Amino acid sequence: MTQKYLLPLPQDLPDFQSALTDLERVPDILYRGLEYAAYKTSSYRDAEFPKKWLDACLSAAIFRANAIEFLRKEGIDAGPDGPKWLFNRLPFLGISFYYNRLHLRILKGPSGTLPGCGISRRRKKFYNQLPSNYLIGNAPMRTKANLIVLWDFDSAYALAQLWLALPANGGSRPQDVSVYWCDPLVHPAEKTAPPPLPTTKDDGMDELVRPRKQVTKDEDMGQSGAR
Amino acid sequence: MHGERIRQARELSGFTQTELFQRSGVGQSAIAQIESNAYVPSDPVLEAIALQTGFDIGFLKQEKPPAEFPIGSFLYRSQAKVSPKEKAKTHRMAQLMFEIVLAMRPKLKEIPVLIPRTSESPEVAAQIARTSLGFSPESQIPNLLGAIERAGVLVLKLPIEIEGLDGFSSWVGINNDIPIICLLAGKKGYRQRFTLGEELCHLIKHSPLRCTVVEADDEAHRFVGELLLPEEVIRAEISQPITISSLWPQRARYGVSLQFLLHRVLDLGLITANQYKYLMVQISSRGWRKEEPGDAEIPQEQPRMFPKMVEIVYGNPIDWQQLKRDTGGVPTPLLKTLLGKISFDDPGSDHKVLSFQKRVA
Repeated sequence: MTQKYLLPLPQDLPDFQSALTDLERVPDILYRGLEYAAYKTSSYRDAEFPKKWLDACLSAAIFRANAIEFLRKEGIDAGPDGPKWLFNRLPFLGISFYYNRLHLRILKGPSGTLPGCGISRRRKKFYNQLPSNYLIGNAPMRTKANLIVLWDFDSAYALAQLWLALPANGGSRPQDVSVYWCDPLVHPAEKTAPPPLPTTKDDGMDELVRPRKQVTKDEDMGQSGAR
Repeated sequence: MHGERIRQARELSGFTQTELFQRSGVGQSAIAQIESNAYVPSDPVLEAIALQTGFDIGFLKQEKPPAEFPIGSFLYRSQAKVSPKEKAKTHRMAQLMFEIVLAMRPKLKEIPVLIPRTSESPEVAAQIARTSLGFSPESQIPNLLGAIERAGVLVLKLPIEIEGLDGFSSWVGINNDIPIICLLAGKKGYRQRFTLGEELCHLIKHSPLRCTVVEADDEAHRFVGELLLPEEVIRAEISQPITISSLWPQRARYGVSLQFLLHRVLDLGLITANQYKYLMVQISSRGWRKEEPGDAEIPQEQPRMFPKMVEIVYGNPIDWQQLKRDTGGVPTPLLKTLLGKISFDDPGSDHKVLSFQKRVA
């Protein structure tokens, strides 16, 4: 399904790269948390309904419950970013949080396709880039953009590609939704810099490999004595 | 002359007896008889063989047979995937490099061998090996190749690429007292470190081989696991939940592939068989089974002992004429190919890596 891309991007909204810069290490944490949630879903399936497909709503609910658990305990909440972020409590295990004045929602969407808003006015406002206010401690904050992280299962209930999208307009059905941009988030493994070269200097080879003529008389005598 | 020299020259040139017959006009049965010392060829026959193989007549006429080079762990390295021709060429290349070492040996101080030979379990053998390589039980091993060389093992990098064959090892020399590990070119990522570990196990535990090939491979796997990822350290450092993302940083830390790391945590019971399968499916679906992200950029450890020996004996730049004389007339281009990967400057050398094409299944 193709969704409409709206251009140009308004000046007050971030492009993909600047959104990534503002999100800092959040995408990596999301990959960790959502991979964990996908694994827990797969484990549940293996334990309760081996070799069967779970009801889509049930699998998504298990996924979201575990993702929330991870993100609260081991993810963003547990990190040093406490003052920067705020986790929302949404009905039906919805995942939403604020980070660096960005409002993020984590939604299930296959291959980078945003789901429709259905009859949810709250979601429509979010898609339409309406800013919202929130408190970090006692400090009032106002969002500068609403972003969506899209996830999906693959055929083995493993986490497929994550996408980051900036919605433009909300519609009831997926085909009624439009976005400014929607790009894949690189897996942390694929952006790791290679390790430094192993050191070859001062490796003791000059001492170990020596011409026979340089061996001193004492050393020769010592060696033959040892034999 | 010795027929084995003709066979050596032919196999190094990558010819079967039939192919040499087609090129040189010397009958295939005659070649077979010459190689088995049943027939002494005339000079024109030798000249025809020399022309096609590139070796000097002097080399082919040598009375001395090639140095004995036991096939060692080559015997059980991916036998099904490697053709006899590839196998012969690789073995001959290692043998020739060893002959160069033998030619240099009288001019060099003897290098003590510090690796043990033991029949202990793979895990205990790995712990002993760590100690003999100079590492504490909990330390990482940043430069495994360097440590192995410092323990007196000669590591040779063969300028040949064969899919399915990463390396082999053997105890060589008159008294079988020189441990050698041969590594093949063109391997990416942390594969070379794994191969080094496996071959170290074969030198320590499987010379001579007292178990089946399958058991030896399994033992080598367990040995490398304990050598590079010691149980005590891994249990303390790998935290649950284990996912691809959580395991990834450990890969570079210990210098092992993600797949080997997963295998190790499975062996240690840190994940279930189901979880292992689930994670492997993810690796496959991301296309990381054959090559993991960043593999191409991971620098490969290079042997230092052999280049150092050549530098001492034949100078820098290398005195190719002297080297050719000392090896009985090995063609200079072949010598340059064999030594082409050595690290010191030699503007005259034309570095080549010989590559066998992938075989279509």
